[in-house]
Amino acid sequence: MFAAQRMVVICLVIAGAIHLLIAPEHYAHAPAHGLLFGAIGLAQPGYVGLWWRRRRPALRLPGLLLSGGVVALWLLTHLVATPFAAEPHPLDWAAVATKLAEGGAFVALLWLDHAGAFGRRRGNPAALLARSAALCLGGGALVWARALAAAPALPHLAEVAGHSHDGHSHVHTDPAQAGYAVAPTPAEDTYAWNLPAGFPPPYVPPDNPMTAEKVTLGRFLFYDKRLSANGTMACASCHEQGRAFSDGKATPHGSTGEILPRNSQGLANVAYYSTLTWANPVLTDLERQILIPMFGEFPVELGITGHEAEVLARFQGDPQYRAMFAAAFPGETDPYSWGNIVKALASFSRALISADSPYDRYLAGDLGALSGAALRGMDLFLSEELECHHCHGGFNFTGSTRQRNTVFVEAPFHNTGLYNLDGRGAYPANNLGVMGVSNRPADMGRFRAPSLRNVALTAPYMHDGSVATLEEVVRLYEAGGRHILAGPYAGDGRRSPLKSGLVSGFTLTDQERADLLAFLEALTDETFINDPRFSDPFAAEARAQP
Amino acid sequence: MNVGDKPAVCGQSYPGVGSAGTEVSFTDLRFYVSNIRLVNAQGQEVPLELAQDGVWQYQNVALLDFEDGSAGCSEGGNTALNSVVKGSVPAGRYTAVAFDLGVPFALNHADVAVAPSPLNIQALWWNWQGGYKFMRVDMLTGAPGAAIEMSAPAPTMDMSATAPASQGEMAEGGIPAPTAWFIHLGSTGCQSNDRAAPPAAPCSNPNLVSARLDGFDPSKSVIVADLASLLQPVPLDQNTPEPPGCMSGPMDPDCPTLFSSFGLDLTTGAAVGTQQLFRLQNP
Repeated sequence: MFAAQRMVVICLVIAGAIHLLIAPEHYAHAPAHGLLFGAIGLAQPGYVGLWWRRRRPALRLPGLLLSGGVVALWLLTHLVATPFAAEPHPLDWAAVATKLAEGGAFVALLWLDHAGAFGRRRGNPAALLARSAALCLGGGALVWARALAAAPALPHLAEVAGHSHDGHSHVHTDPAQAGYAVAPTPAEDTYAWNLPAGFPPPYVPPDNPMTAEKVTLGRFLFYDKRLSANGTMACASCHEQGRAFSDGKATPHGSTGEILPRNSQGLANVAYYSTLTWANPVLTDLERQILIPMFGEFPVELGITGHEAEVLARFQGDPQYRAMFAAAFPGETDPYSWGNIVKALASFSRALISADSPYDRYLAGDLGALSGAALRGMDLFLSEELECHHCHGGFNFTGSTRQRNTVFVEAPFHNTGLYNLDGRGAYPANNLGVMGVSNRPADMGRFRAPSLRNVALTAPYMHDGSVATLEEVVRLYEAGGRHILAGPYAGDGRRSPLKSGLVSGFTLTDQERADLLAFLEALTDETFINDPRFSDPFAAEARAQP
Repeated sequence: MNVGDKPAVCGQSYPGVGSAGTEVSFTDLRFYVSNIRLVNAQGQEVPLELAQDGVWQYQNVALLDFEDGSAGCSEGGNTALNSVVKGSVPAGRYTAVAFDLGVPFALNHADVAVAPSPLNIQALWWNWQGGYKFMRVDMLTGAPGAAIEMSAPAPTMDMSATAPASQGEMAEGGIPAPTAWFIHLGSTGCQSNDRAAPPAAPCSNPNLVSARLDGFDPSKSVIVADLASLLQPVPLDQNTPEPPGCMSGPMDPDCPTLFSSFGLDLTTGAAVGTQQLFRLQNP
C-alpha cells in the first residue's frame, strides 16, 4: 500500500509543480488561465501534505477530483470550449507531463481505495473505476460549466487581446506582438444592413453589436433636444437629414451659444471611416467620438457635463423611452446609463448608409443614371492628372476607410495647402489639424479627407467651412492650394512646404470643370436624405397626432 | 528594399539618387510580387506555392511593405512591415529565381472594397479599370524648404481678401514647382466602359516587370530591391506636373528612363529589357 501512496504523492507533487511553474506566464496574457493553474498547483501538493499524516475517508473525494477531475476539466476545455481564452492551452511537454502525473495519481488512488485505505475495502474493481471516473467527469464538468458561464462577466480575466497561444516558448507570431496593429476579428453581425454589391459590411466593435432596437432608440435620442442640458439642441441640430446630416453653417454653435472651431460634417456612411472627426488619428470608434459633443466643455456642445443625473432622469421617466431602452438592452435591470445611450447613438449613426446615388445606380447597371457630363466628370475624377481619387478613392470616396475585413487599417491625413501663414506652412492657431493632437510639426494642417458622398449638400467646405461652394473647392485644387492675399490669414498655401505632394494643381477647361461638378452632384443620394428610417421621429409623431 | 547599400526606410534622406544626384526621402515604399518561380538545375521553372496567410499573400501574389507609417510616411500608410515571401516548392536543387513585379491581370481588376488582403489596400489601388498600383514608391526630392525657392514668383493680384472667407486663387501660372516625385507603376490602356468598370480584355500596357536572378541559393540568398540602381538613369531634378513623377502614363515625360530601367517598353507595356531594380545578395 505504501508503494501506491508514494505514487500518489510523487505524481501530484509533479503535477502541482508544473502547474505552478507555468502559472505566472499564463497570468500575464490570460489572467484566468494563470489563476486556475496557480490554484491547481497549490491544491495538488497541499492535498498530499494533508493526506500524508492521516488517511481519512473524507480525503478520498478531493484526491480523485485533483487528479481525475483535473484531467476531465482539461479534456472538456480542449474538446468542447475554453473559458477565458481564445484557444486552449496547447498540447506540449507541460500538458503531457501533468496529465500523465494526474492519471498516475488517479490510478494509484483507485488502487488504495480498492485495498481499503479509505475505510472499507471496495469489491468489484470495474464498478469502482466506473464510479470514480463518473465522479471525476461530473466534478470537472461542474467547474468547467461554471467557468464558462462566468467568463462573459469577467472580461478582465480573459485572454489579453491580440495574444495567441503558441506554447511556452512564447515566440509571438501574431501581429500585435510583432509591433503593428491589425484589425481585430469583428463580432458576429445579424443586423440587416441591406448593402448593395461593392459595399462591404462595416466594422462594428465587438462590444456594441448592431440591433434594430438600438438603432430605433438611437434615432429618438439623436433627434431629442432633451439630450442637451438646457434642452435647446439635439444631435440633429447640427446634423440635418436634408443636408446629408451636415448643417449648412461654416462653423456651428453649441447649446450655450459657443462657436465651434470646425465645420459639422455629414454623417453619411460614417460607419466606414478609419478615424472620426476632422483630425484625430487615435479616435477610431463612434462610441468614443460621441462623447465629445455630449460631454465636451471646450467648447460646450450638448453641455451634459455637470447635469448628468438631470438629463438621464428625463429619459428614465418617459414611458416611451422606458420601452425602447428595455428593447434595446434586454436583460439589463437598469439600462438607463450613459454607456447605453452612447451605444444606441453609435448604432443609429452606423445605420446611416448612403448607397443609392445616381453613381451607385450606374454601377448597378442602370447606364442611364449618369448624364454624359457626369460620366466625363467621373473619368476626370479618376484620372492621374487630377489625382482626386488618391485621397477620395474607393466606394466611399475617402482614403480613410475601414470595413469589416480590413487587415491594415490606414488613417490618412493630408495638408491641402489651405493656409500658409508664415511661409513654413502654418495654419491658424485654433485649427492646427493632426498637430493639435500629436504635437508633431510635420502634422501641421493635416486633416482627414471627408467622403464625397452627398458632397453637393454639405456646403460650406473644409474643416473650418472657409470655402463656400463646390466650384471654389475645385478651383482651389486646380491652383494647387489657396493663396490668401490679405487679412490675418494671408499667405500662399500653394507654396506650403507641408502640402501633400498630390495637391500639385491641374488645369481644367470650363467644360471640364462643369463635368467634374456634374459627377460630384451625381453622388447626391435622394433616397438617403428622404429615408423615413433616418428622419425625425418627433416630427412624424406630431404629424400623426396633430 | 535598399538605396544602394542602405535600407530604404521612412524618415531618412538619401543623397545622390538618379542621374542628377538628387537628395530624396520616402513617403511610401510598397510593391506587389507575383508568379514566383524557382528554376532547377534542368532549367525548369517550378512555381512557388505561397502560404495563404490571409494577410500578406493571396493566391500567387504577395505584398512587400517597407513603409511603417512613421515620419514622412505618416500622411497615409500603416505600421505593418513585410520583407518576406513565404512559400514552398518540392525539394530539389534550385539555381535561379524568377518573378513578376505586379499583380496578374486575373486579380488586377478586383474591387478593393471586397477583395481579400493584401489586395484590399485602397492606397495601392487606382480603380476597377486601372487595377492596383504594382509599386508605390513616393519620394520627396530636394532639401526641405526648397519648394519655396523653386517655385515661380507669385502673381501679383489686386484682390482684397479677408480670411477665413474663401479666397482660392484662380490665377494662371500659380502652380508651384512640385517636389513630390511619385512612382506609381501599374497597367495602363485597360479598355472598359468607363473608369469605374473592370476591363474585359487584358490591358494594352500590362507593365508587369519580369525579373530573373541567376545564382539563387534558396537557403541563403537575399533578393534586394535597390532603388538607387532603378533610378540611376532617371533625372529626378526634372518633374513635369500632372502627375508628379511617373504614374505609368505612356505620354508622361517623366516615365521613359524609369521604364527602361524597369525593363519595360513604355509604349507597349511589354517586358523587353533587363530590369535594374532587383539583384541578389549572397553572403
